[in-house]
Amino acid sequence: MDGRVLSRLGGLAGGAVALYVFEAMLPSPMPWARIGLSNTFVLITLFAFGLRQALLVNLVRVIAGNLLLGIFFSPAFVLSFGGSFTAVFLMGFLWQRFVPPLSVIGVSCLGAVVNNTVQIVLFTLLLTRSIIAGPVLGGFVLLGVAVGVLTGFIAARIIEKLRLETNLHLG
Amino acid sequence: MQPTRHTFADFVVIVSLVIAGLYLLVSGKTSASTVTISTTEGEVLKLSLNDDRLVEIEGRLGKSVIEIKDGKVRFVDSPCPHHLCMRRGWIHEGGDWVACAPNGIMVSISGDAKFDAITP
Repeated sequence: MDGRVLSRLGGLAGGAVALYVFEAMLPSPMPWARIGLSNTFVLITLFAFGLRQALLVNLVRVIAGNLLLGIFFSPAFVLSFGGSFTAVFLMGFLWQRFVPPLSVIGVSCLGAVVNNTVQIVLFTLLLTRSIIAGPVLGGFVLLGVAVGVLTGFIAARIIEKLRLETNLHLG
Repeated sequence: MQPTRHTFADFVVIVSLVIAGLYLLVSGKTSASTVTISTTEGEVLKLSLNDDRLVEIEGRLGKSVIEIKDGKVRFVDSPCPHHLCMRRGWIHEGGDWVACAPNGIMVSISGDAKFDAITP
């Protein structure tokens, strides 16, 4: 990994952590639920650099973000860790196999929905003994689609800019 | 083909996810609840929570009266010494139950156990 790539990854990870902490300050109906805007940076990393680099940025985001919020290793951290890594692996798979038909926006939507679904499944498995209520899951799926479209469009614009500025290899 | 331009496949993915989300959102809201009344003698009654009626059922000690009204259930009368079942009052949520232990009668409402977002 040369210095230029490393500095870019550092910037992307820093941006992801900053957005992650900012999001936690926004009012939310549930204390552990976030909108998921910091996923923008993970998406950019995936499309501009690759799956390994995206996993690295996600790891930094989850660990540094939760340390800064003071909830490292709390139930909220477990939800965040499980949801985001499942989503990054899925987005990586989609990026490798399905990106000619799909674009950043579709990958982003599926990632956000999977992130939310895994989080709510982990929440009900770990913290409650009831089964998942359908309407709750439906609400999180719809929220995931909306956030996925938003982060997908933002990420697409930034990836285009990154490609113009540098001659980095793009997927 | 640039990966940053939105495609028709994206549109298909978004629409199908929205349909799945809306389906989940409306499903489960219309589930008709049933009341199960069971006794230690092995008698089991399954009744709809939406049909108002009085049920008289024979237990170990005698006859218990259970009332179903406006989607709620309660013990109206029971031959037990402390009447704890009657003091429990109306129950209406899925997963909720009320029992008269001395008379050996259990009344429960089918459905998911209730939970909120904060209480684990």
